[in-house]
Amino acid sequence: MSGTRKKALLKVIILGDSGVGKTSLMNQYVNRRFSNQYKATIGADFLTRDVNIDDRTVTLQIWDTAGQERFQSLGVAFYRGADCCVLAFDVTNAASFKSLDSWRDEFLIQASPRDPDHFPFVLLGNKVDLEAQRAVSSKRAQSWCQTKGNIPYYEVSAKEALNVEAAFLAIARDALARESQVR
Amino acid sequence: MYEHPGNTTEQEKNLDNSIRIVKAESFEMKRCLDKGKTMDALKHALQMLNEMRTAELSPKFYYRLYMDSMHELQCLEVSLVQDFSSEPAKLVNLYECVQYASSIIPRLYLLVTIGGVFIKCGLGSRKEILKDLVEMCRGVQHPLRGLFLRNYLMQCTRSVLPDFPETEEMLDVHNSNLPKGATKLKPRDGTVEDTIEFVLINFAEMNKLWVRMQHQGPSKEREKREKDRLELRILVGTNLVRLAQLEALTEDMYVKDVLPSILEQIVSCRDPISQEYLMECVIQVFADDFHLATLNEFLAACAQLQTEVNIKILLIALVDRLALYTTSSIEGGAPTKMKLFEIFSEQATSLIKSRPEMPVDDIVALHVSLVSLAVKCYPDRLDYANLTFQGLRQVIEEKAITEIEAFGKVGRELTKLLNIPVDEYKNVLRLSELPEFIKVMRFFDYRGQCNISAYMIQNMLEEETILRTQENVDAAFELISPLLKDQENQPENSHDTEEFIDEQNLVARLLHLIRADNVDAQFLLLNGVRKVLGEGGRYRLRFTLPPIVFELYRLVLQFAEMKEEDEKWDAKIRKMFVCAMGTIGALVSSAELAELPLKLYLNGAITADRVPFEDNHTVVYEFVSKAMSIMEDDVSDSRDRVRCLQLTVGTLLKTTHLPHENWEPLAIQTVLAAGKMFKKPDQVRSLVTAAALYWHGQTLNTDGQKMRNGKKVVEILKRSAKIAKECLEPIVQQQLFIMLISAYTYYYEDKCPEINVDHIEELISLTQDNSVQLDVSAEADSLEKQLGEAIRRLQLAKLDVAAAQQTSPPEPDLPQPPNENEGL
Repeated sequence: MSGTRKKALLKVIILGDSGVGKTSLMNQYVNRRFSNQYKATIGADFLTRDVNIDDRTVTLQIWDTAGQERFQSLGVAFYRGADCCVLAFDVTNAASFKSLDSWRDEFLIQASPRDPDHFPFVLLGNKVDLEAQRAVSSKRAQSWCQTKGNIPYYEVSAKEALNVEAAFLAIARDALARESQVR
Repeated sequence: MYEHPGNTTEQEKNLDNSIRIVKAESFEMKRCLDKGKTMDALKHALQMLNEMRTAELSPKFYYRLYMDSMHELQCLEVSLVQDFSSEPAKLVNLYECVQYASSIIPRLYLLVTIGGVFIKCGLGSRKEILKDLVEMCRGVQHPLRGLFLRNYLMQCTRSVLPDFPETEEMLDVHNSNLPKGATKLKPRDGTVEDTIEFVLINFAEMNKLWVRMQHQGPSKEREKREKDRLELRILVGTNLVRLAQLEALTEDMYVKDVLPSILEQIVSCRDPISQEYLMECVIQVFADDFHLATLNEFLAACAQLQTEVNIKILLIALVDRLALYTTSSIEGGAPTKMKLFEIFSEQATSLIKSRPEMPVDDIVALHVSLVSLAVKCYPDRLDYANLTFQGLRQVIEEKAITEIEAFGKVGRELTKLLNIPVDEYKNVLRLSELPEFIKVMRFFDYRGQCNISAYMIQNMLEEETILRTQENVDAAFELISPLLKDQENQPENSHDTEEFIDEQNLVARLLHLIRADNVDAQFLLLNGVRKVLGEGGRYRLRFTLPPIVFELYRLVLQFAEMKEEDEKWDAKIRKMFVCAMGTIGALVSSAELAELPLKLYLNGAITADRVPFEDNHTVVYEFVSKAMSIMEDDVSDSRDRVRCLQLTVGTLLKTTHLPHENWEPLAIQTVLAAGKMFKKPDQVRSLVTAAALYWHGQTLNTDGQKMRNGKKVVEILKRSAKIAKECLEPIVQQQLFIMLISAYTYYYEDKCPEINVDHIEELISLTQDNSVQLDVSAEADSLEKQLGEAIRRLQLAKLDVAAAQQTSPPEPDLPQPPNENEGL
């Protein structure tokens, strides 16, 4: 068996405040389903989905995490070995946007990636279907991304499956490109 | 348990060692996989998993080791699925080989992994494999290792658990990604019921391991073990998350099977840590609809929990969650909402009964949630809120608690509770429809009752809650009654506190919210309120009565415009003044105040003078004379007296409707009072002030003109000049002289014919002589300058007067009063 045929396994972590829709984003991407009901996540859990990128099959291992600290009693060991970190916030909830800095810092401290300045982050602004209630403008999110070394920003809606597919595909592509650089 | 719980550095070292081995073995494993040597790869995997047998790591460190190992197992799984999906039958060999591995931990991790691969490749019965795996895990009875193994089982099987029955379409995505030649996956067996059973077994086993952990090891390490247990809790909770994630789990299944099993496990384990955590997990992970459908069952289970469990936290979490849901969801209409409150209310009551040792602050906190639910979700059902307050009242009465401290534990909860309807209704008057509210409020100590009363007034001011009727006033006053009169539980010195002053000021502001629909009704309200406030005691009256007086004056001015509309207009206005007079009188007699009522009288005099009702001058006279009596009898401080006299003069100068025979005694009395000041300089200043009455004063008899009685003015000025000469202190005398020069000049400028310039100049030269003798000082300098100014002003005035005499027709020379020079 030749090495190139081997599937790559990419570990992606979704972080963000409680209620921004981390589980919904993962569910929409992996299962193409959405539920309006709020159910808290405990600890961390993943789902996988295979994607084809340039003739290569990549298994995305997407980690959904608890936004509430009390549901992380064992710490955040699941950050280890992540290939990409997806930061999520709710565009109708300004506080969830404000927390992004601390989520990013926390990740860099706990995961201690080899090259923290260039570790791939992606920012997802969820719930854009609720445009009328928007509290964080696209411009504001983009300028935050610029200050963090041009993090890619996607406005998505897990509910309407808007942009979710494209965002995760870009995430996979980016992480894969970096992985092959490292190896 | 880890048998040698070393310190953190040691743990780090042990973890590093283990992780090094995991890396090395997994590296070898992947190399073998790349070469297609699956058996060898599995041997390395077993070597790697040997590290999971360690007893040296505490939960958090073990979790890190577990995460790294699991990552490698995932790589193994991905590779195996890829390699065997075309010929899954070969997997059976692997499975059998692994079964011969000697250590149970590595063996079970691998068997679980391969079991997952079986299912992913569509080999064998999904249902049976899951059942086997969960049974096999019973082989590990060590709590820490067992919990992690079972957590791995849950993680590994997550994506293959039977949910909705599988169809060809559901597998399309999977099959379309398979490499060429691979066997397409067929729909697999198993139903959501199988999954439920599988997860519930795992849940029960994990909970048992978790609960048992506290009994393992020496009792002196108990505290540390409890800490470890708390860290491990999320592993147990994950099972509930898994159930909540099932798409095919219906409400019916949840009600009939799932929740009863979970609750049975929680209740029967009899462990407070487990119970409190898992109950909260149930609240958090399952959907709102499910909770609404099982409220009774859930709450009944709450009642069966160990007494150490903090039920309050659970109930509050549930109520808050459902309150949010019912208020936010559009479809959360009548049917779902209907019973929610009743159920909570009943269950909370029986829970409190069944737990006599429950702390009172917890009981009150529970009611905070209940009232919040009642008020926010059922804004029209005031009876619900009332019922809750009633329930709390009964509990507090049974416990014979009184005088709850405002800032104690219970008091803080009680404050929260009472503030809810105030904040939510935005109309304090609605609280009168909650008769139990006030009864609960009365359990507070004096400070607590005052605080909540003040909070209500603030709300009324912010919301501009108008008191339109007697009922409104009564309702509001009932609620804030602790602020209106002395209370039995009031501390001795409470009148001296800042809080007291702030609160009375609030009451004063509240009075301005009294606004009846018409003048008559407003008068009745004010009159009634005055009587209630009159009982407030001397310390409150000074704050509460003046607003009433001002409101009465405001009413007079409002009514003044309506003469044509009311045939009893004159009488009514008079009545308003009588009422005001009585109110001010109370400030003198009961509150023993002087300057404040004096000002109010004077204010009333001006008001009466402005409104042309019949014989309004009698009111003006009465009010001014009453003000002057206060000055005579009750103002003892000389500075205060001077100020009061100035106010009186100012008031008299503003009145125009007194007949001369009434004006004169007031003016005479004023001059008399001025001359009777205790200190000579005060006499001089007051006389100069009073002199203005005879120049600027107006009466009914002056035909709209000013009095211009120059003779009287000069007489008073002369008198004061005489007194000024008697002052011994040079600086003070100098000040008085300069003031007199200015006064003379003023009247001279204003063309008072009785003023003789020579007298002024004489006074100036006297002052100049004096100033040479003054000691050098900044004050003397300043007086020198003032004198210069006064002289310059006189020069200008002389020029003006001369110019006027040239342009206007000559006036007859006024006779010079004799002995003019004597006084100077």
